[in-house]
Order: sequence, then structure tokens, then C-alpha cells
Amino acid sequence: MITITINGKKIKTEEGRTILEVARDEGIHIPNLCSNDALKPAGNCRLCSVEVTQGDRTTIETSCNYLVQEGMKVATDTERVKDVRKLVMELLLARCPNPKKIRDVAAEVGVTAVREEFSLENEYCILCGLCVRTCAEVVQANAIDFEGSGINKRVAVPFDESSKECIACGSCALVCPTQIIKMHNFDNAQVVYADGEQNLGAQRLMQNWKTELPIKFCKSCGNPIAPERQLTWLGNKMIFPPEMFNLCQTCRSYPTIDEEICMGCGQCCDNCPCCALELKEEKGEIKSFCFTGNCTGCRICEDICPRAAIS
Amino acid sequence: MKVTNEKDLKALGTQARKKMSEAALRIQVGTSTCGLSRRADLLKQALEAEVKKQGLAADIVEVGCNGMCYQEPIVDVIQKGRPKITYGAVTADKAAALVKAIKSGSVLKEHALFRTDAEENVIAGESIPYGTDEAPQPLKELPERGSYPFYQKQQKIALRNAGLIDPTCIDEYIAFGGYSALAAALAMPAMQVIQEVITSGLRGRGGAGFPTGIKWKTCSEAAGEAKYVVANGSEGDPDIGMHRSMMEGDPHAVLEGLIIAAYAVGASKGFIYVSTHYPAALANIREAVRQAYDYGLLGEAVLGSTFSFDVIIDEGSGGYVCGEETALITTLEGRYGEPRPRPPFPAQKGLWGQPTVVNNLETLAMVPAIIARGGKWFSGIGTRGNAGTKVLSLNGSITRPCLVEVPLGTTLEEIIAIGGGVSAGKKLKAVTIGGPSGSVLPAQSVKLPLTYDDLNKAGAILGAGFTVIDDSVNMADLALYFLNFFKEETCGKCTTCREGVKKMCELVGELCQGQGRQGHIDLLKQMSQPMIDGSLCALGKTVPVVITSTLKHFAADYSHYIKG
Repeated sequence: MITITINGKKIKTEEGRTILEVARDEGIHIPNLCSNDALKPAGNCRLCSVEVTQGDRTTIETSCNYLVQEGMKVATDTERVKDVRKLVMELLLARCPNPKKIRDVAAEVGVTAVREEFSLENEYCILCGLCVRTCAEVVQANAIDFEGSGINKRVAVPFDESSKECIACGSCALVCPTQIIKMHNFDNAQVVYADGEQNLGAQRLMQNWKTELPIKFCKSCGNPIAPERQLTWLGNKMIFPPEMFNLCQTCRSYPTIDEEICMGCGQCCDNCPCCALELKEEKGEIKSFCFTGNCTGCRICEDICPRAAIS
Repeated sequence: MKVTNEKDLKALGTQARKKMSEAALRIQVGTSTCGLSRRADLLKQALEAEVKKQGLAADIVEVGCNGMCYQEPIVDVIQKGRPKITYGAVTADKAAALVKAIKSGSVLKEHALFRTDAEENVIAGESIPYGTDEAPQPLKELPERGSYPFYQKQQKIALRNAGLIDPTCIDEYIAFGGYSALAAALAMPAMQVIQEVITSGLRGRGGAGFPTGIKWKTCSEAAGEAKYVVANGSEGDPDIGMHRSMMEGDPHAVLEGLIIAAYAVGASKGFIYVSTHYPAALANIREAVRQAYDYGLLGEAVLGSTFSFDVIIDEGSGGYVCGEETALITTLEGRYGEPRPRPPFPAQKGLWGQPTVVNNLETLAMVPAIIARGGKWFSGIGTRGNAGTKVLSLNGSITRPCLVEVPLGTTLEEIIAIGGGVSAGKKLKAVTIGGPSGSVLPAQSVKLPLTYDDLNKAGAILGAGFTVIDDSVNMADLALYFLNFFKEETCGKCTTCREGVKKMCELVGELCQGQGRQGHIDLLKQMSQPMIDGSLCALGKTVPVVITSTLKHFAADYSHYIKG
């Protein structure tokens, strides 16, 4: 355990954590645009800058990737910090005047308008890198990356061509703070040629990455599930049995636990890849329970139960 | 052929020295990029043909640049038993006259610059005299190298062999004491090598000026499965060619320094980062590494010791930001060149998370001299706390653009004097040191001594580029030039740097087009401090310095553009 000070408040915490994490646990709000718990911190947006004093050295550091150290003093609301945040948001607002998220965060740090000497652009991407990092770290598809250098940097697929790597999972669209990454699902996509048109059937389009992939249907109910390439990708990456990916979420069978037979050994809970099973005490007995919201219907628990209580 | 002990190395050196000194006639042509740009290649061909025609036997060798880039193509003539004569601006059509003069034993007066009575061997601390017995009268009339204005204030350590030896020949490097420092280092415990570098007071020559010995010590004490050393040959500044000249003229000096560094910190693998913009430098350093492997100075059991070391040459695309050590490490890992936050420092966790020492080429080239002559000797050069010499690339509005190496503590005025002063008819307005990242120093600061501390106090950094600016330049235009450079070279990671540079560029651009108002200048001033605070690496932190320093010293240049 180490002790640090944030805004004059003494806090005991563990080593290896970032200032942002510790501050959040203490209820101290530090605005940020490019941090996400599922991703490694990057320090791209610089909005989470704080003033750090160690010994007689005071510096401005990004709290998202600066690790706490014994005796460190952190100030999150000095004038110097506010100036950095204001500049960051004013510059981002000049770049992207339209997205609501940017306007909201700018207002939060006290920037409502861009000074008239600054020219306005009509960009939507703030280059926070959330999409790039999600694709690389969570999805592990590495379909998109930064391209170009200097002020022309942008996010793109290689050569701006539809790539084999993109599985059209839409995670990038989900994390994008300005919602500029567009994902569309079509029930029946049509391509119009000079001599007629062609029906492509159900398709998912990732507009920014020029990826258009056919969607797979549930073998049981016939409803669309997800792009075929995404399901194949998941099948290869995960330990689940391949036939699971032929069914939609609703048609997959979920475990029923025979409470008479279950002895509460907890082996199913330990081995569930999705943490969908948990032990609970009921009427003085310990039994396992399944939360279908987390369950993917992979049937691993069925194989693992020593007393065949799960079916 | 493997060299397995110090004795064999010495024998090799003596043999090579003998070969060099016993040649009846040795003609050295400077064929660095600066020489080639003045067609030194044609000159060499012409000389070869002419020597053959006039029936002389001569060794014509290609050497690096001796620093006098303004006198290219440079030719050194060494006749047995006579001092060396250096000729400048010898174009191919002068070849016949030159060879004729050599044959008749006289001097081609209109091109002769100076004579060298004795060559200095920095590593051994001795001077190697040329014979002076049968020197003709015109030769005696030439100024000696030591009294020649260009050399008077200079002291060569990093550039000790540039222009003196054939860079593609390891034997000639060994002849001037090459690799003897490595042999000496291998005989010491690693800790003692580090101690020697700490004693020398050597500081990183990349600009930040961090003590090299302390960096090595941190790395050697850090825990890791493997350790790495990296020679930082990135040179993204416009208009300078210090690393290029060093690798073209004396690649082995860098390599030897790198091997010593590796031994000191316990690294088994080293990288030399060279920009692909320097094809000749790349070719020379590749050849140097190949020869070092041949001689057993790299690979398994270096010089017959238990220490093994491999070197990989990494070609970079020469981005400016890749000179920053953490960005350099990221590119070595094969990723987009973006700096990383510190701590952890590279000496603790660098390349692939292992302790890594990143040193500038110039720093490494000094190391063999320190080991051979001792840290005390090195700390005696320069001033207190700022030991040693610094290589500077003099350019801009200067009479003689050149590459010089001066002891730290030399004043800026003296350095400008080496370059022959400000161009004819112009008046000194400012000096920039350290390229675009350095600050702009006004004319009245020429009395400043060139040291890390004095320059830092003045708000500048000690980099390799030394640009002289005359009074015909408007500093707002200069600031715009630098900002345009940064606009392309920022890695684009930090919002403050990427967007800030773009906006500063627009603001100064509008000012320079006469569309600016006082508000533009106020905004530039207000942006500076948050930009410095909000950016991760030295690039983002130094961009506003260009604006603040020019605004501070040359406010009139900005207001000149504001209407009404």
C-alpha cells in the first residue's frame, strides 16, 4: 500500500494503478475522451491532464497512463490544468464543431465557443484512437490503424480498400465518442449495374471501412445473427463448440440445473467462460444458478458437471 | 580472419600504418555526400586517368569530409617524406594541373589551403609526424594546419578520423588506434567502464544533455531478460548533416562506441538506426559491421573474450520525431513512431520492455576516446559540468557552411568566426541552435559560451544545427517555416501538439499575409504554455518555444505585418 494526495485528500492505494483509476474510486471527476476500462491507456486526447508534484518537481501529466507513486501529490483543478483542458477542448471544438459529445465535454471544462482567430473545420474524428485500440486489443482483428503523419493523420483500413481483416463486428462504431463510424444492416442489399440489378441478400456495411459482408441466419428460427466472417472469426478465437455459432442468441439452449442433483461443488462456475454461473445460498443449501444474460449457450458446463445435474 | 587478442590488433595497426606511410604517393579525395554534390566522383576518375597518363604510381583513396564542406571537392596529397597538403575546390578539370604539380614536386598554389606536418592520433594521444626532409619552398610557405583559421579553435574527438582514413577500410581505422579502446574496456570490469564514463562527465549529445554514464548505470542495474543498446542516427532537422558525415567518414568510431556501451551495460544485441535518406552512410555502416564481424569484433566471443554482441542495422524513414528515444524504440519494434510516456525510462523498460540504452551517434563516437585516454582527460576539455567537444553543422547566412567540432565553452561568436562570419554585406540578426526545436537567440547573445547550462538558461538547447540568420530575414517568416516543418513532422498523437501546431501555423500564416490582428499575437502567447504542458514529448513542448522566443526578441517583426 502507498499513500498519495489528490486535491489535498490523503488516499491509501495500491501500486500499479493509474491516477485516473484512483481518483475515480474516490469520486473525483477527471474529464477524459480516450480512456476505456477495457483498453490500455493511450494518453492521446490529453484532456485528463493533472498536475503532479513529486519531490520538488511539478509537472503536468496525463492521469490515464501515469502510475501512482508513494508520496505523490496530485492536483486536478489548478489554473494550469484548467488551461490545458480548455486548450484541448477549444482545439477539438475547432476541429469538430458538430458532435454533441465534443460540445458537451467542452462546455464541461468551460469552453462554449471557439475564439474567432481560430478557423473552424468540419471534422468528426478526434483521433482518440478508441476504435483502433478496440480493434487491436479487444477484437484482435487489427483491421484499422492510424494512417499518414503530421496533421494529416487519420484512421483508415490499409490503402482505403475493403480489407479481409475487418469482420464488421461494429465494436469501433460502439466506442466512437463522436459516432462518426457508421454501421448499417440491410435486409436485402441491392447492387445496381447498367444492365440490371443484383440482390445480395442481408448485408452488414461498415461505411468507413468499405466492408460489406453477408449476414448469417439462425438455423432454428431464421432470424439474422451476425456477419458470417465475424462468426467464423469468433469460432476460431474462442473455445466454444462451432455449432453454437449456427444459432441466434434466443435459440441457443441455456442450462437448466436440477437442484435435486446439484451439490454446489462450483466446478461449472469456475469453468464458465462467460461468468454466467454463480453459487448462491438458498434455504441453507448452496446451489449454482445461471444468468442467461451472460450465457452464450456453449454447453461447456454440461460436459463439466460431475453429477450430470446440468442439461 | 579473426582477431582474438590485443597483441594481434596492435600488429594489425602497425602493419596498416606502415602501409599508409610507406606509400610513395597517396591522394585522398573527399567523397562524402558534400563532396559528391560537387562531383568529387568525376574528380577521382580524372585523377586516376591523369596519374596513369603521367606515369605515376599512386594510391587514390576515398575519404570522408574533413568538415570544410565549403571547399569541396577536397584533395589531400601525401608524398612520402613530406607534409600532407590539402587542396580545396579542385574540380575535375584541375586534375591534370594537380598531378603535374605533384610530379614536379611543387605545389598547385591557387588551390592549396594548408599543410599538415603531423597527424594527431586522438586515441593514443600522440602525433604522427610526416617526413619534412625534402619539402620544397612553396610547401613551407603554406600555413600549418594548427595555424589555419578554420582549425585554430577546433578540437576533434568525435570526428577524429573523418577525412583522414578510408571509411570502408577497417585496417586504416585500426592504424589510428581503432578498437584498442574496446580491447582496453574488455580488460576492465563492466562497472569500471561505466565509472570511467561518469568521471568523464560526458552528456548526451542529442540535445537533452543527460549524463551518459548515469544512463548506462541505470540500465546495467535494471532487471531484464535481455538488454539492448541503440545508436540513434536519426537526423530529421532540415539543413544539417552531422550524423551523415560521421557515418560516411568514420563508421567504425560509432560501432566501437556501441560495442563498448553494450559491454558496459551487459547488452547482447545492438541496433543502429539510420535514415534511408542517407544511402552512402548506410552503405558505409553496413560495410563496417560486416568487417567487424570478419575480424571477430562482433558476434561470438568479441576479441577472444567471453562477451558476445550482435548488431542489427535498422533503416528508418527519417521522421523527425523518431529522434526522440521512446519514439525510436517504438519504430524499432515495428510500429508507428509515437513517443511513449516516461517513466518508465528506456534504461529501465525500453525496447520490448527490456532495459535499453539509446545514445546519440556523436555520444558513442566519443566513448572510445574516453576509454583510451581516461575520463579525467575528457573532463578536462570544455568547461566544468560541460565536458568535451560538440559537433556543429554551421549553415544559414554564413560565409563558409561547414562541420566543426569545438570544445564546449567556446562562445557563439568564435564559432561564427570559424565559419568566416556572416555572409558578405549582411548583419547578424539571430542564431538558432538545435534546429527547429531550439530557440532563437538574438544577436546580442553571441557572447554566450556554447554549453548545455548557458544555453538552457537562455531558453535554447544544445543541438547539432547552428543556423546563422541575417537581418534580411523576418523572424515571423522563419517561425512560419519552422511551424510548417512541424506540421508535417508531428506524430499526431497529442491533441495539443497536432491541433496546436496546425492552428499556430494558420495564425502565423495569416499574420505573414497581412491578414493578422493583435488578437492573433495574443492568442499565440496564450496557447504556448498549455501546449507545452499538454504535450507528451519534446516535439510538442518545443514548438511553442519558436513562437515565444521570436515574439520575445523580435516583436517588431510580427507587428510589421499588422495593418494600421
